Amino acid sequence: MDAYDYLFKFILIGDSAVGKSCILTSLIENKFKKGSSHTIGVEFGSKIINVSGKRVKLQIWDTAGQERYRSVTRSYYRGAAGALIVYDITNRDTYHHLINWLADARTLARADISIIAVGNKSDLKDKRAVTFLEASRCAQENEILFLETSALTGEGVEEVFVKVAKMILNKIEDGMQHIEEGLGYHGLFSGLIDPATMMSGVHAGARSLLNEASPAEPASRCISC
Amino acid sequence: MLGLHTSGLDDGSWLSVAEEPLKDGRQVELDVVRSVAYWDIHRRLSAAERGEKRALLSCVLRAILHRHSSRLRYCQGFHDVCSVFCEVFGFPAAFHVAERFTLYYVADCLGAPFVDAVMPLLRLVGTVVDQADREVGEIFRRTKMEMQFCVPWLITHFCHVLPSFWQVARLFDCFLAAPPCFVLYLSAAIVLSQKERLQKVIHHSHGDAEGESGCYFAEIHFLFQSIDWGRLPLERIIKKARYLMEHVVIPDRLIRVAERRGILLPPFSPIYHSRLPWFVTRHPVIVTLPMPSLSASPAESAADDDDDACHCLSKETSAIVSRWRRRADTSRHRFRPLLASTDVRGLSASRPPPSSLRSCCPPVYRHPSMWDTQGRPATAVKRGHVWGWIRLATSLGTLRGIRGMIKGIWSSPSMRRAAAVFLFPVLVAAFVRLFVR
Repeated sequence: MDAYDYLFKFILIGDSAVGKSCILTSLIENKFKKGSSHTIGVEFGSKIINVSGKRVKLQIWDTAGQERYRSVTRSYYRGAAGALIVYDITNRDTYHHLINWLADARTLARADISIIAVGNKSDLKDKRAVTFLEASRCAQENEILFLETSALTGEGVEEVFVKVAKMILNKIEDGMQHIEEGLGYHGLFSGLIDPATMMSGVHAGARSLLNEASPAEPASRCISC
Repeated sequence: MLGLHTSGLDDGSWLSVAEEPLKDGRQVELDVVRSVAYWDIHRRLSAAERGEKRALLSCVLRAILHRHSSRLRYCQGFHDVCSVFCEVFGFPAAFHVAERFTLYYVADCLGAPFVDAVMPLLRLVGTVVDQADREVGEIFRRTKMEMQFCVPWLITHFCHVLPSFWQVARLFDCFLAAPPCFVLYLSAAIVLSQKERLQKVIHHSHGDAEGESGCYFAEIHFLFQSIDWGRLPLERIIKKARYLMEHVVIPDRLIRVAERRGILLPPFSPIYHSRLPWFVTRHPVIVTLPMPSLSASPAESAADDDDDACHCLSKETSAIVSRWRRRADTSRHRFRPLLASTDVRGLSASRPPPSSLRSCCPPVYRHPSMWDTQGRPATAVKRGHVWGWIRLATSLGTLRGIRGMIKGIWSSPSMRRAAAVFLFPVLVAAFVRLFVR
């Protein structure tokens, strides 16, 4: 069984055919799946990554892009700690819809969700329709992170996840400081991350408890435990 | 099958609409470009062959969507279903078969928003699982999870998840030979087939049952997502699904149970109208589809762009759905399906089909009064009247006999007393029942 310190729940959203599923397979299998098909409903993948010395398990929910599927994917926003809004740098429409997806994530997910805009297909330089500069400016205006990736070459894929995970970790540490400063749990709750609730999308894993000898022991625990 | 006749099938009129602009055209295009790459038979295709297949698929897809644009809207996954028929039938039969399959089997996913169409279907699968195996049902109840992993199974009738075309074709044979609710039973059978893995996950999963169902949720979803479809004992599962449908929880009962649990499908859902005309008799039934006016102009479809209540629906359908929703809210009994009884094994082989069935309209196109589930269908009411008269006549006959009996009893005093003792509680009970309520 894999040991980890934290468990973060991420969602991948964005217009259809921008490469959400390809980013996910690229992260998990380190390869580009040729001829991959559309996602229907929601698909799931998980991976453990190292972020500033901590082992973080990512639970990633890859959603269908079509508008009609939004009622199905909606329930997955609720518990997410991070959201990746993917657009296609060769297709301006998908970039324009970024704002809609952002509004969706802000209204449906937790208030403190960490969001990153991801411009995919960066290997298609000659077909580029959205420049790096304008996208990063847009991200800055909306106070979200931004990176460009290529699921085909795998460039920047892991960085995206690491970047978001880092941001969430920082928020958690801020919360912990609140506790140490004597503000207690109220400080933690009013802070950014509330790991005590089940749906928070963030769990602390107790590595010492994870061994095969005691499978009945709860392996993943909240900080409050 | 499907009320199709082999000769005089094609007048080619459908081809003309395939070229016209479509509201979901962009999405269709995106999905067609990615299609014809998934099943095993597609692996060794040359680019030209692939292009040809995509062209046919696009043609069929656009023709169906355009022809029924007043009722149906495209959803991702529908093109998978169409491409099954393209593979099997080729041009031009694929269009006709796919069109009928759409109207009689998958109309709810295309005709209503997913909240109203797909979510209740998921809960229906859950109901079948629950009725068939309490233990598995308990797992889902305890973890409070919706069966979201069933979404691709139900929307595409499994053709999106099965990697081998042979398996897809085998399943589609079953779907065509069974009522539309069969896909629910098949999904349930697959869920049940994973029982051991499911129990293992629950056993080893992190956290306790109440606190951390979030962990279960991901693990269970992953379990069903990672089913090894190539190795699935398909025949055994089909048998199991049929057993579930015919013996464990028959469709009628499923719908009744669902209604009690507050699960409502769109009124035109194929699940409610599973008595398809060609199942009623073994004679070949030829169904002529009602042809909607082909003049659904693009201007009209552009006009309902800003319809935010059911953003993915045409005006007409959303009006129908909202009307139905209102009725479902207000009526105490919710609504009862009109033609729910199903008998796949064929009724009588000797009787020709009644003429009314020849033009059996697909449920989506039926007048809302045909879904009106409060009143019984007209024929049943008539039959009820006839039965009433026959019962009255026979009871009049028996009354005379009873009068004679009473006279005989009344003549002896001891029998009179016994009768009084016996009848008093009966009369009291009858009085209470009649007047106290």
